[in-house]
Amino acid sequence: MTGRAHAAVSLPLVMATAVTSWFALWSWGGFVQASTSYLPALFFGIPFISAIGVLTRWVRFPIIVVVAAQLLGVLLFANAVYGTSVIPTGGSVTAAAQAFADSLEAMRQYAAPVPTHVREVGPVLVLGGLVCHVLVDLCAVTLARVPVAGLPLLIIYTLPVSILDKSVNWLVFVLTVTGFLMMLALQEGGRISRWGRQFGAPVDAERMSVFGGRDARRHPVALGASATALALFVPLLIPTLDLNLIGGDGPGGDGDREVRITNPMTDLKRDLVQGADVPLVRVDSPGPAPEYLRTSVLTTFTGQAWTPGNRDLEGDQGATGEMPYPIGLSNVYPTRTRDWKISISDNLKSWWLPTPMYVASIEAGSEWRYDAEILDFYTADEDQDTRGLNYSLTELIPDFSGQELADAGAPPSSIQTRFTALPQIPDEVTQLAHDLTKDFDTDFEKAQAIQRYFRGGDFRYSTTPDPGNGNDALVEFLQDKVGYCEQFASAMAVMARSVDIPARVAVGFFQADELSSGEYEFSSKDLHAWPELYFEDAGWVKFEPTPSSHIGSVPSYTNDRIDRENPDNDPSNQTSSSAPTRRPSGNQPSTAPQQEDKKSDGDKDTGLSVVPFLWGGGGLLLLIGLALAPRMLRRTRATRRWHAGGDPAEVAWVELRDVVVDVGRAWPSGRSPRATGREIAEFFGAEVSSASEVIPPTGPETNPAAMRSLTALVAALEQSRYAATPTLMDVDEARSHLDHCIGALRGGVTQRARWRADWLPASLLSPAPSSASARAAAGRRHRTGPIDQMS
Amino acid sequence: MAAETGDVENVARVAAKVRDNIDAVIEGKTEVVTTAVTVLLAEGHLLIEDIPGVGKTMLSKALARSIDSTVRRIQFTPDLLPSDVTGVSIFNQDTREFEFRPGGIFANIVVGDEINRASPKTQSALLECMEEHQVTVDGNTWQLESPFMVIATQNPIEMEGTYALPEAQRDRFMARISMGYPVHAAEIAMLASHTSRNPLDDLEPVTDASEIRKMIGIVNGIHCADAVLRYAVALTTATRNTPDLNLGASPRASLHLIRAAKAYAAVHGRNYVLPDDVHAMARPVLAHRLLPSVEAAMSSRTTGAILDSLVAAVPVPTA
Repeated sequence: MTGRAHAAVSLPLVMATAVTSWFALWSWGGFVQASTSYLPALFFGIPFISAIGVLTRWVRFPIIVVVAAQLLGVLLFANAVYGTSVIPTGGSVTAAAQAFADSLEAMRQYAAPVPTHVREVGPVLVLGGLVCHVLVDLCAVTLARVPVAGLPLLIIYTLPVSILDKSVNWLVFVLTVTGFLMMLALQEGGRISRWGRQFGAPVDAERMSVFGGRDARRHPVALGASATALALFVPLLIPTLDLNLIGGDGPGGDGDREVRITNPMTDLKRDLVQGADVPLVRVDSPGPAPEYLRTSVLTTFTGQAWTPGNRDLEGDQGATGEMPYPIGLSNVYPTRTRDWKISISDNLKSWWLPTPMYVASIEAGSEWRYDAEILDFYTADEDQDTRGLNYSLTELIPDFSGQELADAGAPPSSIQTRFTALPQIPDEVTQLAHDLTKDFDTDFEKAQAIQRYFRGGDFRYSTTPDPGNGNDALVEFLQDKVGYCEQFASAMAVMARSVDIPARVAVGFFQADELSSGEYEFSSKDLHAWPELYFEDAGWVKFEPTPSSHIGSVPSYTNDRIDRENPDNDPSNQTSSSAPTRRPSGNQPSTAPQQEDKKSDGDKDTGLSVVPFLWGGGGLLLLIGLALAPRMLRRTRATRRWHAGGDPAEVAWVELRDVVVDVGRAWPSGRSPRATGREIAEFFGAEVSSASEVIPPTGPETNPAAMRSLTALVAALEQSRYAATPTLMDVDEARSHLDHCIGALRGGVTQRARWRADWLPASLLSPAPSSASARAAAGRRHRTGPIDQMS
Repeated sequence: MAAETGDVENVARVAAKVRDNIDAVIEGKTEVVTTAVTVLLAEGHLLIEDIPGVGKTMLSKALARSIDSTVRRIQFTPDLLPSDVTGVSIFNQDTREFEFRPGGIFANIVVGDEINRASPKTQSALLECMEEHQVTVDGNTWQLESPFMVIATQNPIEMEGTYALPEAQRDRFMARISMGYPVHAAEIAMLASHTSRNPLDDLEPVTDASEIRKMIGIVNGIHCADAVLRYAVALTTATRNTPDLNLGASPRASLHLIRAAKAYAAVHGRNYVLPDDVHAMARPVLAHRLLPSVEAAMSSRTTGAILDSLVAAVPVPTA
């Protein structure tokens, strides 16, 4: 049966493989909140890749070309979906690459499941899924090893189990297993129809179906099904094995499941209104009264509440010793330090460790872990809390002015993406934020404007309103203009995010009471929440929107007057004034001014997007390098051989061996030079390069000149190996003989084989042993082989 | 003592002359003739085994006649006595002393026709001479003149009243060759020429004993690289280890193999041995010494075929 007919027969197998891959990829739903972000794309992508495979196999390309074509198809598909046009133009590829980079970034920043509003997460899943499908297709169809295809399928399936540490829907499992059994059945059927019936099986043509014979006991499908059943039910019978690979959740994942990290916000209101003022934290630190002792940072706004988000608390991030330098804080600003000794009363039961904003070093024990990006501390063991804890730390205090913050550059895209992410929020909040900030150019002035709005006298502090900081509470708060610190902080952070200023909410204590000189105490009435906004070089900066009736003072820089000496018509300051506004667009609902803003952002993006170009260019270079690498390696190896010296005939012989392998011929091993030469001569062809795909006539008679060269090489090699006093061949002579032989060898194969010999030389994979190692091997054989047995 | 290139070329020239001379008598058997000449130069003995009428005796006679040397022909029969081969001491009435009358073995080339027809006693008398290159009768030892070569023929078909050579004695022969039927054209040519007159009558010697002695000296000086020695030993070892053979090649077989390979190299004008020389001589030198196992014999695999598969399987050392 020809390969083409074979390809036609395996079409059902190709389809079954595609469907199985797609079902298996459902299991990745746990990575995102809504699996619609990648499954529909895969629904079209997987058949596309399979079709490429069918076509390339039909043309009978070598396996490596089939795989390469499929991988190229993956890239084309990704471009079509995520680029700006179906045709991979430069801009489109850049856009797709940017989407992929964003997606990677999002993957890195958000723990699974990534919320729906972060739309960029799709590209990674789609690309990964398609590459996995290429693997499955390679095993099942291209190599016709369906059982091996179980491995990539298993990898697809176990990825969410191992990374997310949670189970996958049983339906996905059933569908995948069914698909896999189907593939097995189809392959078995194809094999039987190709090779005929097994010996011993009954001759009954009617019982042969497309799935092959129906001897139920022997059929691999029956075997596979039994194995699956065993794998499923044996663990049930053994009580200690709690595999739990299959869960009961839907295929789209099971939403935000924050198991261990509790929300400090929910406790704040209760603690604030509980009446009696309970001393909680005692601080021993020389200097003015400490302020803003932070317990935790809320990084994520879900629409219902501010949450700490998912944190990456590695085991080696214990709260002992030097802490990493705060992200974003550059050394352009002077810093000073202040030593704290903190002892926590038995009344404060917290899983979060109270610390100042920036900690240079801390000794609180390794059972507290810090988040390297956020720099807050969380218990490693939830049986342990802060009650009765004593620890010391050194605070890092940066010093900057409002003017310096106003001159800050654009934040990095990682911060920008993560800390301006917003779910759907009420239009009036966005509108208000834009109305408040539209007169200001810099982020800092906008932030000042928002803070002024809250502290301007219109708002009243009260703990009466219902607790909450979600969308509904926000709208209510903005209408009633009555709330407490949590709502002020939350509102300011949301509004800052809506005008593209990275923002988060910190929870902790506001100001300590002095007990004696250098001894201070935070109590329950000091519990507080405040927003932190990000400015390049200064890092995270506290703001204070809570009205002065409750919080008397604000951080001094937030009141600094910003010198607006840079009118728009002054070209010299144009760049500095426009720089801070330069950033990618966020997720706010589009209004007319914003669209303008976005457009200008887009223009400026070309400046920023040098990076994707670099990546793209680098990737292209890498691809070119990869494509050229085999040829280069092969040439380098040949050159090195000649330069290494040694007997020219030996060198030419080793090189000849590699060329024979390169052109796809078999090098006769273990033969004498003369016998080898006789076999090689059969591969010789006339030295005219025919472009036809027909194998040219070969044999010693086709190329007498090359035969003379080959004979000369063989004679020289025999001389050097076996003669008592060998006369070595001249290097140039050996090379010219070798060139004749190479020409004849290349003349004896098809154009395609020549191409492969040039670009994918097979000898790289099975290099000829160097003569030294051959000699060593011969020596070993000499010692342990025949001689020993003879004696 | 390495052989000089000029000497070796001389050997090749003489060997070619002898070969051409024999070719005039026996047409189309170049391989067999080359092996016979090779064995002569390697100081070995030759066993020609084939069915009657394919030219065994013709070959041995032609080889003997091509060299100007003493030639004896012994027709082995069941009543042939050892003394007929080695010679006998007779009491001379005139001198009143025992006088040694040399037997058929005293010659440079001894043609032993149908050697398997002689009694084992006679066979062993011959074989002792072959190995020792000397004859001992009544306590006196006579050296045999060099070159000394026994060309024995035997008929594998007609087994009645024969005494097959035991393995130990077959081992003394350096090589066994079979003539085989002539090719079509050669047979026609043979009919044309041999019916009018005996071609042996026209055969003139092309060399003499002293030249052959000199050439044997040159052959002994042919260089044999370590790799080639290892290859030869690997081959003989393989015959000892394969389950297809009950009896493998002896160390004497290895020795004969290398000597034959040296002569083969010299005949082809080379002063060093190639693995290919060993390869070429492996079948004539080794095949007759091997005994197939019962399984191999049952499946009609000849020792030659088994040996060929072994030779194909043993890799040639590269250096």
